[in-house]
Amino acid sequence: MRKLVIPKYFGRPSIGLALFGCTNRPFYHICVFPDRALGRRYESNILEQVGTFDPLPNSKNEKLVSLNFGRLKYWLGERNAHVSVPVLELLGLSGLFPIHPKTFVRARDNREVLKAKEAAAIEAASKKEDEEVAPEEQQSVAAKV
Amino acid sequence: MLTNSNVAFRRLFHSSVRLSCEGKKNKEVKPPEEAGWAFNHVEKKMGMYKPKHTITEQLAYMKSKAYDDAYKGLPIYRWVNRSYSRRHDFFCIDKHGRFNLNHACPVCRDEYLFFDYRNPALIEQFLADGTDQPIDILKSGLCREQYAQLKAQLLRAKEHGTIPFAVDFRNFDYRQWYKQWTDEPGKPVERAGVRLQDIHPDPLVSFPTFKNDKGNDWDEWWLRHDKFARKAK
Amino acid sequence: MLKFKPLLKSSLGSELRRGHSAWVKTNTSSSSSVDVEQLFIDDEVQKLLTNLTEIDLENKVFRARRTTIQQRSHFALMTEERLEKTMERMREEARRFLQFVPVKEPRTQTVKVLSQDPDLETFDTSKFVFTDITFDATDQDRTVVVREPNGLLRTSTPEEHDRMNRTYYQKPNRPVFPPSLFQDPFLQDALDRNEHEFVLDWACWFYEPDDPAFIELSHKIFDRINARRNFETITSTRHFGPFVFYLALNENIPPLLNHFGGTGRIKECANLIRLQKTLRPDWRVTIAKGDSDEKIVKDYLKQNNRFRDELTDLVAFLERGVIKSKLQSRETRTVATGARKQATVNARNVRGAEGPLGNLSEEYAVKVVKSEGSEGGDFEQRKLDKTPQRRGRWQRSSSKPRNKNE
Repeated sequence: MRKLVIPKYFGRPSIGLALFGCTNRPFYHICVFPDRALGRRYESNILEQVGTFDPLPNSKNEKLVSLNFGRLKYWLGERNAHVSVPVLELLGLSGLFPIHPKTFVRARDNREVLKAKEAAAIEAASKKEDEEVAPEEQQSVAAKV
Repeated sequence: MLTNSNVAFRRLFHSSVRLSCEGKKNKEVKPPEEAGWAFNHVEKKMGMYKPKHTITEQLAYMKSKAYDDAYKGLPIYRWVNRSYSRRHDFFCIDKHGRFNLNHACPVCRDEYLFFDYRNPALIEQFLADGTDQPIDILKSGLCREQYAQLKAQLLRAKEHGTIPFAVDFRNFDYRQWYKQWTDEPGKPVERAGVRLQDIHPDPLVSFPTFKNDKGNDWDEWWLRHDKFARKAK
Repeated sequence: MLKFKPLLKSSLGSELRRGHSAWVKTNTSSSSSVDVEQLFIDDEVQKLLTNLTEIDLENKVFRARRTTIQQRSHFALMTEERLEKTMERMREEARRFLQFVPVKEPRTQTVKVLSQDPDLETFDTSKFVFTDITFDATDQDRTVVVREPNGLLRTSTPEEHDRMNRTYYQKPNRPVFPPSLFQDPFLQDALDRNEHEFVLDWACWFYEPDDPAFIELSHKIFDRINARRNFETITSTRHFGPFVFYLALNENIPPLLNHFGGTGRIKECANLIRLQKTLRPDWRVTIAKGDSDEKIVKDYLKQNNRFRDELTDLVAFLERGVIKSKLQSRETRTVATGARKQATVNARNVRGAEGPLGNLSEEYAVKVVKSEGSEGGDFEQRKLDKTPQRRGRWQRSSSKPRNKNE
């Protein structure tokens, strides 16, 4: 049964991230996997590597992505490959695709978190000021007495 | 416990000195550390510790007479016999910083020496002649730690320019850099790629090069083998 | 007054028409509109630069370098005629090694904004750099784009572009970040040790020739050479052409003229003046077509009296024929080292200490199979030392000195 199809030419391949790092060091290859219908058993038969993604920012605060656009176009255009969401996000950021909605959602969430943090910081600062002011007042009251 | 014994020992030593000195009058004998004798100041005296020196001291030492007398202008690994200490789990200096072996490696045994990119002369002693590659670890007699240090500091010295090397020759194709340029570039050249035979071909003598088993017909061999092997059977 | 007017006008025009060239420094008198690249690849300029670059085989082009692979010294016994032919071949080979590093204007630092998405603000805390690793793309036309954390998508700066090239396409001795040698305390150290050629070689291997950092670095080194007057370090290298070009373009040739004059090379002096005239047609010095080298130099001296203090060696050579002792000492040094390397072996000294055996000749008797008279002048053979040869192992038999008289 397994021999009946060649994974490379069968069905609809899918493009996704394959974890190639080691402990505490994530590193992804952007790979083309065989048809999902073949099951998870065939996920290890990577058809082609079309890029890399390094999620740890380097010393210049950059996340490096390399993409083989020529081959990517082949897999997308000729073979109608299915693309996983993380790769879609990367392709959207690179300008090849329109930006994925998830990126917008994440951006909004991050902004909200930042806003909340700022508000908390301002509150904390004002509280501190109040506390600093309060003992002074007490002291002045004590002096008056 | 150790400290106590140490103190007791010193007290005993002093008293004995005093006793012995009673005969000769007006002659004060100083305790060993004041007199400048070799003496271990470290409390735990189970092993000896390698003193820490700066790179400037090392540079001065390499130029000094003491260094010249010790090594006679030869590489420092020249007369070091390390055949007793070749086990991979033997360290010249253990994790506490104490000397562990009687036959320490040539760098560990000298208190002033350590590899540093600012002292290229020491690194160059461990390079193969005319190259920027370190010699074999067995030839150098270094321990693993120092050999790793050697490789690291060699790279650092190259990056800081203290050990210059032959950078590959970059062949520029001018057509790539100038639109108006039309001439073909010459044959690409490489450093150390100039061969005597190319420069001076000698038609009188043919030099047979070593022919490895590349591109030959191995089938022939197996055919014959089959033939003879079968015959033998 | 009259003379300066057109210069002023031209400088104004250049600023209006095109940006300032990185190769022309502002402090020079006239910065007329120049297309530096076009000037550099001009046939006349190339010819002059090639003539100005001397070929020093032993001390410069094929000098001993620290290579990665260990090599043997190779010795060959050959006749005078053969030696001459071989040296001619070596000179041809050396000409290839003296190919100039391209003189280029720095790449533009401005970036093109490809798209701007305000909604993407703070989608991540760090930049994303996308590199096209398509097989066909070359280092020059590879696409590199950057997505900033504020949602801006832009093309890369030259620095980012080249760094990505270095990251994804590794070469030996080309690390991702520039080595410390190119920064100042270490750069100055290397220059103090006269390692100019090494630094420049590595710089042109590491950077692209139109990288702004490379042009800045090479100018820094050129300026220091010019300030220290140690032209010896860079002569007969592939960087001497761009160096002379840079000097002549900035009308800064008197120190180099003085150097050539001090070593008694009047032809080079004239070529240098011709070069500056070619690069700066509005220069006041006039050169007629049929002028001899000496006349050009003398005319130059006459018309540039203000440089007379800098040109003392040249003046001394022209007036009294004095050659500065610097070159002589260098020559004697090369002769002294060369005498050991290239000893002529003949029937008279073959048995003595000067022969191939050296000090061992006292212990061992040398037997000559054929005497000098029987074979004519063929016995007079010379040793050629240190012909570099690749992968010495297999050529070992060929490199052994062979005596054909045997």
